[in-house]
Amino acid sequence: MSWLDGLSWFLLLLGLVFFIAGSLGLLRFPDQFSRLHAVTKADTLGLGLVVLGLSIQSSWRETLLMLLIWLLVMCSGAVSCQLLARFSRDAADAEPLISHQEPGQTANSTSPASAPVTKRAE
Amino acid sequence: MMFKSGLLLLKVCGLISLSALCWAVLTANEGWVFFVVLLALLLLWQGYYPLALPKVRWRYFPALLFTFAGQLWRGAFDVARRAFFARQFAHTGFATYACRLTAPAQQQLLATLVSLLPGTCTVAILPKNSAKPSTGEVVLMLHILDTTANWQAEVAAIEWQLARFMASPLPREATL
Repeated sequence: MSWLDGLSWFLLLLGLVFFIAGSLGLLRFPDQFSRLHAVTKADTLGLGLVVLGLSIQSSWRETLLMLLIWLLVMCSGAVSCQLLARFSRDAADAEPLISHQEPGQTANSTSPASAPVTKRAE
Repeated sequence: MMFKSGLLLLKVCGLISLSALCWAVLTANEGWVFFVVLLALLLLWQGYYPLALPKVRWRYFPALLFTFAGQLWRGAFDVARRAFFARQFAHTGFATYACRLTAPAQQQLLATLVSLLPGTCTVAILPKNSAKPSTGEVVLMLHILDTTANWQAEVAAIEWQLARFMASPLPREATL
């Protein structure tokens, strides 16, 4: 086995580790917003490492094809994550209107609508 | 006039070459008849409804790519650490970031990139001044895994790189 094969296998295994981390995060993270972090970031890098590992053993055409697929998955992953987060926020905001509330009961303080405005980095 | 026509021709030729390359890769170099028909339809459509491509400065692309790749790596590593070692989530929460980019396409691109940075995920793009939404100034509502971390600096760094790449000057205080 040449050192290039070794590097390829190392990248494939590292990619697999990030895929497992993404799946574990999906199970272990406490709320839907945190779970979105797990599936977008870990899986995107995991796929990238798998593509990199496979491209070492492939022709230039297959490499280009895999890179295109990775780019598309990365774009669609980030956009769908944003859409899911927006939907969850809208659902969380609408919840107090749907659920039964006792007189004088306040809405959930952890709602995204009550997010503080932070000062940006100078 | 001649210069403008030449530039347009160059852009069209570049786009055709890029499309042909994508087609060759995705179809294993087959079905070129369909490509020619599809290309003719696309060019016709472009003639009637021209799609304005954003102005970009390619010399800043490597810097943006390296910054993004580094932060993607750190983001995935942070998530993996939290997943494997079942770290506590005591400081998760929502926050907003005042976006300094003004073009809607750039704001959307920043929101997408931010979702892949360490510890941040874009939830919504909201008008900065809800009374005057037409001003174009927006804030990004983000979900933060650790609100005590300096996530603002990372978002500002990618925003600055993006502004440089898209030839969109940021306000005066935006010097990192």
